[in-house]
Amino acid sequence: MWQYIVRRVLQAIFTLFVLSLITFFVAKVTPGSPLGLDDPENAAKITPAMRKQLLEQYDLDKPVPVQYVLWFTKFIRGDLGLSLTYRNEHVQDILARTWPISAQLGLIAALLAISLGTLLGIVAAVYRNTFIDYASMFIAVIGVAVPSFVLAIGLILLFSLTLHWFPVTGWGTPERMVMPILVLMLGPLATTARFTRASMLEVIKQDYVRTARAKGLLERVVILRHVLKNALIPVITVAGPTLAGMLTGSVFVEQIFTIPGVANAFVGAIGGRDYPMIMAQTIIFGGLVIFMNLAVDVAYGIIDPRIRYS
Amino acid sequence: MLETLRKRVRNEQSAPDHPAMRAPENPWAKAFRRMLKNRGAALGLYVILFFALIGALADIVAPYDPIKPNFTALRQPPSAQHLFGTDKQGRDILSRIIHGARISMAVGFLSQGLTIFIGTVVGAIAGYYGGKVDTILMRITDSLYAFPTMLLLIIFMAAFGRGFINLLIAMSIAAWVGPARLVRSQVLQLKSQAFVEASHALGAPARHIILRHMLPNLIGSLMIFLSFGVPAAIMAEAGLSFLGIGLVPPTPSWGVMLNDGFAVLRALPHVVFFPSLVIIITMLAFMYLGDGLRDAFDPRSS
Amino acid sequence: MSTNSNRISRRRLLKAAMFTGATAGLAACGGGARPAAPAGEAPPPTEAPPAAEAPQEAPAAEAPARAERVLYLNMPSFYGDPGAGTDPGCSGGANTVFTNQLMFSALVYLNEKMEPTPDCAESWTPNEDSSVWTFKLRKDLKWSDGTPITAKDFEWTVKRNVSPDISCGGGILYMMDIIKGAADYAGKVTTDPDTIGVKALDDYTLQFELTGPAGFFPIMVSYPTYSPLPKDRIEQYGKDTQWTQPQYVLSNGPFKMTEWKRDEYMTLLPNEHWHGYTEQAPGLDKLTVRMLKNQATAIAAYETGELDVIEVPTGDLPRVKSDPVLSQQLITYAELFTQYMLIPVSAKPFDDVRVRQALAIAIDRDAIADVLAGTVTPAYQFLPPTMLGYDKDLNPEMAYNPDKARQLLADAGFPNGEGFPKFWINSNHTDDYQTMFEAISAMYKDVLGIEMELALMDPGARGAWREQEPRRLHLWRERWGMDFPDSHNSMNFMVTGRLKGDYSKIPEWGGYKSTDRVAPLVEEAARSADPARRHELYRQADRILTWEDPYLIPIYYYVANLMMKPRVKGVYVTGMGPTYRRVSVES
Repeated sequence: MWQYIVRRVLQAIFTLFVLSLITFFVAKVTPGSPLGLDDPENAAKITPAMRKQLLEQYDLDKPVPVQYVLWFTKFIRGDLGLSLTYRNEHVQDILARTWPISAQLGLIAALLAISLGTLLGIVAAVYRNTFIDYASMFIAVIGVAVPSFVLAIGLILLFSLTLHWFPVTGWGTPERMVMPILVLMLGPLATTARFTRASMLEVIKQDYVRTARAKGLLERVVILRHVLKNALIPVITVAGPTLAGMLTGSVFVEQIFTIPGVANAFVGAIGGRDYPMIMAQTIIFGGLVIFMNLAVDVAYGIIDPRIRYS
Repeated sequence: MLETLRKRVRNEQSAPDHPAMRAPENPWAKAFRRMLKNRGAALGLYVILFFALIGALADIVAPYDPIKPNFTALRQPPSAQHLFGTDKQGRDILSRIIHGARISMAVGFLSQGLTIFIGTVVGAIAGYYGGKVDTILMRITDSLYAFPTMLLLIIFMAAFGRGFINLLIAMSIAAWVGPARLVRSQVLQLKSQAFVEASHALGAPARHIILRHMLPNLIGSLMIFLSFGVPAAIMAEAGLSFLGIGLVPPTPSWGVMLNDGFAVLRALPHVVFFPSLVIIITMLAFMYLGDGLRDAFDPRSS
Repeated sequence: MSTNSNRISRRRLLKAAMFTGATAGLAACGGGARPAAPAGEAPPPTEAPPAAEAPQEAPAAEAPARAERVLYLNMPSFYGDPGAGTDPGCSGGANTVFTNQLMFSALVYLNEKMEPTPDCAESWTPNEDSSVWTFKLRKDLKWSDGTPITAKDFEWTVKRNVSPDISCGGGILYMMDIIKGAADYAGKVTTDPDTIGVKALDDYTLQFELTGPAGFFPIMVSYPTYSPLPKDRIEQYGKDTQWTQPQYVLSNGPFKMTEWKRDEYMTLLPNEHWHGYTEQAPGLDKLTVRMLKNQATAIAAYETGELDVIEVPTGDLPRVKSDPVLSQQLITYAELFTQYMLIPVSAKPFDDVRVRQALAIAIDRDAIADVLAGTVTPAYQFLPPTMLGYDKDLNPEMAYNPDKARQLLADAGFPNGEGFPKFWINSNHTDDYQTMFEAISAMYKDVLGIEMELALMDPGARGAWREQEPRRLHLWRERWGMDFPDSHNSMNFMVTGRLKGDYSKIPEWGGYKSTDRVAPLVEEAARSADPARRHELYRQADRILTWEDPYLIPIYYYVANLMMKPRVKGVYVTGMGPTYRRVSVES
């Protein structure tokens, strides 16, 4: 298995390298320039001499491949560079203040979504075709069908502006966290619930479950011992990417609730053509997703001994 | 108008039966019929067809111009004249939603069509030829796959600029990885099957094998992909336009309308309410249709 | 300040802003009408939690510690160049002016009537032709760490601000080039800073020698670039704008910055060493400047009590006006701020005066004002009301006149718009711009039968769009908010920044035939001491620019609509915006 992991990690590094190449060149062909150089309302301030000096200072006057090599050599030495938007701030520092926020939001929402979603799915499957099933699946359906930005708008209208329960903006204290977490978790919760229910029903049909029932075991025991264990294995496959997706922050949630997290920083970096920032975040986002996928594959193998790594 | 719609719906309802009766061995038609027996899926299909229809006939069906401001009807709540009210430029919300249906459907189906096309070509080539070609193509797909789609879309929209065609291209570039991986794995599977090997041994060219033997076997998976991809694309358009980086206003897309509406959330709630509702209904329709399709094409079910 | 004054960010930047910068923002709310400390911020030691948490009905007088009086303002973003930080020497970028005025005191400030009023300077006297100005400084000027400020600091600051080496590259030169030698020093014609016409005659006397007579100079020195800056700190931490960070910055104004979380909030405390502090104790304990970019979010935050002052978004204005409670909190005033479109005067068919005039009178400005729901008033000239050169009867021909417009276009060879090339309007993308240009585009189509397509984009892309081949025929949206209330500011910008500036070098945009008529008028007006004469000169210049040989098409003047909680006192508003020097809040 270690051999397998090492090979996957090496593959991941190469994948990230390709990703960084793609992002760098896409970002470079994007019209517009950093440092507000192309902003007409700003341009009156910038003299041609100043412009030249700034471009030189940030290596922006060099050919794009050279710029990539410069970025890359700095990167492997652990230097992410200076942000082109906040010129006296290092990309590391910006990431250090934005990541914890998004990670906190994502982690809470993901844990809630996965645990509640699984629970909802199990309950719906056990009590299939009863009112409980229909109610659970109704929640799940809503969760899938309502886009997060629509849900966010609805919640603001109801809980902030009408009932005055929760503030509209920000992050950090419990009452500020309720709505963003709700919005972020509902979609994955619904997906998890539907997936779990389907997986449960699949397992319940299996012969060994019928055998267990025929042996006269209590329904509860059948569900807990035989069904649950096998039904939850596939759920892990969705849980991993869900977690990764949520940790990278939600553009909509962060924009609407003005949460100073990574997704906002990423959007801002693209708008400001802040290349060092874009690159650093690309690597982190990509690395996170790849790591999660690897973790899922490994976990899968541990839980289900039938799986062989090759 | 309703009458013609009903007729149209009835026709749609009965249409699939005829080819199926003539060619009962056609697995497609069988799956399709099976799907229509599922009430949710059938309803979903009709809702989608309904939106597609009003979208196609938007110029006839919509009571007002969706783009031109009307200075005599600014900011009106829903009324008999304007069923869904007007926005702050006096434009009829209902008319904009009807025209928006055209754009949303076009974005959904065209972008996914393009996505599937690119994905199938890349996946089939990678899977069929294997070796170095496969490795290179799969490294690229892995890289894109490892990146959150929404953020990828934001990068591409920044690079291309806003607009309909640009959005289609951005979405396809961001999403072709999914079908490519799907097609590749299926092609790998099919390659080892007897009928393909036989065909290969007989000296059939690769293009022939891929097109004649493999593609038909992929249709089911691609249909299911489509049923999830199209609503995802519609949602992505709405999301990007909501962020102000999707389609160029005053294009009456549902996302642009949400964007307009969010700015006047308190003052004119109806401006955001109706497009939200329509988006939710569309998502529900696609979800039920997708579930139905998956069950229908899944040989284990029924 | 350039075309983006401090109002730009308060204007509906939101959608564009969502894309131009990292949105963030922290706000706080105890779940009700009462704001709490911003998130992520440790409660300051002075804050007694029991008092802060005390139920509303508990009598404040009985609380052992008085509840902290915190004012919550909003500043959507550092527009333009966030890298400039809060450096008053780079005060061109939007909100830097806003924070500059909170943190720094200039030589004078503008009172309720926009008259120059003693701030750091006690008095000032011109020589006989107003080309040399001598300012007497107060003797109790101090930095926020208590060290004294003298005229030498002012002299050093002016020289530093015009230097080409500061991080914004002499960006606010147009606010300072009236000082003798400043332009040469900034342009590296000379490297000797002593050639600049500013001198500390003694510790409390500062003298400016100007390029010529300028009666408006005392108004001009209300601008933040005429605040003193901490020389030692800048020399030590001057690389980029590091010195503006809270751990290094020293200021001399009503407030001092103690905390700045980028894109979230800034904490300012009353500056006990400010010369105004001793005259009157401040009426608040803390000022938190939030950075909520989205206006829809900002008004929601106001209504939930997370902000004390906001600019009302256009879409919400009718609702606010009809709301019995909110309408009482609304403050409406005219801003010295003009919105207009620049015309590519040398590109066919816009080189024809009749075409430009047709475009100008095919716009129903009253309808635009209707659509923008009272946030603007129609503009028929460049200079705003109350300024010298403004005359409501300046351009009677410019009133909305579809028949005349069609006629003019037909005379120019485009009957019913036939054969007229398609063109674009290039603008930032904000909600209101979108609304306005959709309306104007519809008017052009209806009235003239010509196609104007919207090219709305984030500000950083506008320049690139313009340069992109194939070149696109386009109008250019721009606006001018005045930096100081004298027509010289606007007209000087138009001449040096536009007619003779960068634009004159672009083929389609340069070659404006009336430059040689406008520039002398503006120059003479600057040098004249007679208000009646100046009025007439600016009047003539404006008429040439907007009607006789249109260089720009004025659309509207901004009307600001602030909402302010009743608990906020001591703020006054002028055409330049609100002034917070003496702000106080009730807890």
